[in-house]
Amino acid sequence: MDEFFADLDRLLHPDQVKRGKEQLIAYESDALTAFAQRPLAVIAPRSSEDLVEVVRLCARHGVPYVARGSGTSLSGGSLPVAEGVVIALNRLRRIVEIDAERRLAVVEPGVVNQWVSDAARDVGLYYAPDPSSQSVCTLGGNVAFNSGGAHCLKTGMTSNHVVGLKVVLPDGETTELGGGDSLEHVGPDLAGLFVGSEGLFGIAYEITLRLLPLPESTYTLLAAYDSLESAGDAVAQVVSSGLLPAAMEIMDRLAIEAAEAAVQAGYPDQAALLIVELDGEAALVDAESEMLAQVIERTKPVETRLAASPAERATIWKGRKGAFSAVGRLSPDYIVQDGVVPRLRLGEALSKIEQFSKEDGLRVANVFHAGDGNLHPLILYDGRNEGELERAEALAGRILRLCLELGGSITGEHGVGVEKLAYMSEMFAAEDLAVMDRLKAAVDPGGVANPGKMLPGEAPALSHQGIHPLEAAGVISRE
Amino acid sequence: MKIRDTKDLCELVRGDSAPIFVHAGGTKSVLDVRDASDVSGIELCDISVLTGIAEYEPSEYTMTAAAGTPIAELQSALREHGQYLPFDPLLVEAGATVGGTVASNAAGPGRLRHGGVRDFVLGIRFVDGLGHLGTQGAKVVKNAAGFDFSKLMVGSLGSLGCLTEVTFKVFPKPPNYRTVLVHQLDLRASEALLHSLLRTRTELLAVDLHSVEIGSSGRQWTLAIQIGGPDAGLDERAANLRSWARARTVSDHDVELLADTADAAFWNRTRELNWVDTRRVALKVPMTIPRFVELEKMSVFSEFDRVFSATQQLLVSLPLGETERVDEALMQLGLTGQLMRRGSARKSARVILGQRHGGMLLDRVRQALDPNSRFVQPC
Ligand SMILES: Cc1cc2nc3c(=O)[nH]c(=O)nc-3n(C[C@H](O)[C@H](O)[C@H](O)COP(=O)(O)OP(=O)(O)OC[C@H]3O[C@@H](n4cnc5c(N)ncnc54)[C@H](O)[C@@H]3O)c2cc1C
Repeated sequence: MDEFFADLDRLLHPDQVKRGKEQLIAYESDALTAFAQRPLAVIAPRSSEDLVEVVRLCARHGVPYVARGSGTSLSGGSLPVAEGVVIALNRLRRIVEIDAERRLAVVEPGVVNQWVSDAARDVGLYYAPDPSSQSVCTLGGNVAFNSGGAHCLKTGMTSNHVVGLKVVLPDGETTELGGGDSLEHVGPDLAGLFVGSEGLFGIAYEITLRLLPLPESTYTLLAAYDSLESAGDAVAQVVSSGLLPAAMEIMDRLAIEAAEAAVQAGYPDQAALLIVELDGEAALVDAESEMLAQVIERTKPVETRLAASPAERATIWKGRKGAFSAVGRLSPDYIVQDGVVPRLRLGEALSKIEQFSKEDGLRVANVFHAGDGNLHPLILYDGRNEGELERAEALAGRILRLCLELGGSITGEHGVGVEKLAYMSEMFAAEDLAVMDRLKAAVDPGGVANPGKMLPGEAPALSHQGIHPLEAAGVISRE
Repeated sequence: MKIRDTKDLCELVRGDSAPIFVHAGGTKSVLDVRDASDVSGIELCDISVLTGIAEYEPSEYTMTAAAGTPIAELQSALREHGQYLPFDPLLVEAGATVGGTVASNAAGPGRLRHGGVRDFVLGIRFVDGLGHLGTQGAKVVKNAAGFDFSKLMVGSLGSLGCLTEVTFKVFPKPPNYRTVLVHQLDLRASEALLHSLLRTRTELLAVDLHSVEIGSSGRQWTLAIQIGGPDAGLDERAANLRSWARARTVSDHDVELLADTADAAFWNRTRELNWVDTRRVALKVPMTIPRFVELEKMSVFSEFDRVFSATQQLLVSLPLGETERVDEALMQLGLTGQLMRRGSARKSARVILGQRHGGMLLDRVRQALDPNSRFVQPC
């Protein structure tokens, strides 16, 4: 290890390598604060050349590493590896190019999701995937997790928008994946394989993204229901009407309460809220919004509201997008889960979750991407109470198993990380996991790229850390 | 060998036959080897027995079908519920199957609206090079667990394993369509129209540029623009698009509006590659608009019928004798092409022209999935 650090010192400026205990604390956890691990060092390359060299050094010395964007992973994906280093990518934050003509953006991995749309707005374009964390999370992290957002029902996840990638493989080889600047490609879709590989295939150092034209018109409807079930039924009605909304989101009473407390969205005080959004060409949205209004009317909502202005639309979404952190107002700690069920079984899933919540004596708030069956139960607990974290984790596990029983998945967009390692073998057969292991071993024979994540092995022990270190340090807050 | 079931397939892969070339025994697409006469050293494996739609739940937007199922069968089931495969499969009437469509990445002009094959595969079952039948991905529209093998298989041309089943994401189909054709364009005008179209906020379903032979004096282009949606407002939208086009052409006669069957027939011809002479091969070359214009100026394909699609690919009707020249030209330009239909080409003819992609990562993927080279590599 001394040799590794000596080589590193020769390569980088001293302020690019942090080894002091206080400097490392902020990197011990990601947004899944129940897990913590102190890295040996945090290395911050300033250029992709630096980054490639750092990866090569790690490969040569067999030092395991985890890349880190903003550390907002909710599954422990950016949790440091024991006896390993963190490669922090925040300094690689250049938007290399916005190409209006070809509708592409070329970015470094540390670029924050929202910056791309901000930079493209002037030329009438935007980057579609919109995780709720979009004002902080990085495209490198988005690529690693194939992150989604409220609008991926119609426009797809990160993967559907990544046209090309420059990556450094775990052994330090660099390679380009994807069709370069064309959306189409010839040969196996390697860019598609890399997206969602949770850092196990190395580090992306340049990302080419597809941009879409800003929708000419947006129609945002909020419908309040006196039961979660009716809101779920309304989703089924919209789907069977043949409309393809840009987004369909549901929040339950507890989530509404939290959002109200945090951002005063002025939501109706009801058991469930449904947000449906149509976007696109104005004439088309006009035609479709009439159909949507009729469908919704038949679902007998207690109240409906239309966003008449961009400001009203922003308010409706502010409550939804801030719902996770808003829950922090109701409880000292919470776990965000991320299971998927077939849409038809949403109602069943929700009533089961309610039952589990009662049985286990922990409150659960539900916020979810109803359009694609992606549930985000927020399990509230107080880590200061002996055993409550463990009970919360157990409840989370019951919910994931439920998703599998109903024919779904253990994660829709937050990834497996360390948090869902134990459930991989419930979702996949042993032979299928073996194929994944074989692939990982072939791509990373030295086992240095983010080991211990995604593929079940030994999960790190749980240790309750209270609030996020960055929050404790006043760097981030839940508001 | 014609397998009877997936167990047969696994055994074949585990055995010591020559490298395996999978086909579903019916299409004229790139994977077709039915009347092959020059396949010595290759074990032909006919999986046409693996057919049928396994699951279809319209409200889930998902459909699962065996790899040998004709795409036409999927489409007719989907049509009944007003849904479709948005990537717009090619060669459907010619008999394209689920496995062949995914393996050869065969997407049509409609890819423009919602994405290509890669964007609509959710899960797969496949036999890898060790003869294991496995499942990857999921049967729900959203899933982030595990590596994305489903996408990996798109464009793999059977080289990484044999698909036995695919789960697609499907979408509601626009209830009706209209197409505006703009005739008699030269390259410059075509380029300008393409660029300004892509900047409009009109929801375009497909935009193709067709070369039109005009005798000895060379070629012109016809631009085809398709929109769609509910009947309400559709005619007005089409009229707006027509005016938009008229404002940009010399004569009103150059703009034509197609509806209903005329619209369907127009796009079907493109999709079925009916415009490609059966003695020629259909070559697909992904490229952007600037690249396309550059190629046109260099006259790489000037002799041949071709369609440039705003989905960023060029399809060319290429005489067999030209493949070597084109291979070199593409190589120099850093472009890659793939045959989508072999026509009467020898089955051992090259399928991939120009620059090879994949590099180190592909080598390692192969090493993991097919360490003993049990599947034929496309050449
Ligand atoms: C309040 C809140 C709301 C959220 N909402 C959503 C949501 O709506 N949808 C959603 O999908 N997620 C959501 N997330 C989860 C999280 O924001 C995403 O997973 C995001 O993509 C992580 O980005 P990051 O930059 O923070 O990555 P990090 O947490 O730093 O890293 C995540 C993973 O990516 C790897 N990685 C980072 N950069 C690279 C790179 N360049 N190459 C290869 N691997 C790399 C890391 O090694 C790690 O495994 C939310 C999180 C929070 C805290």
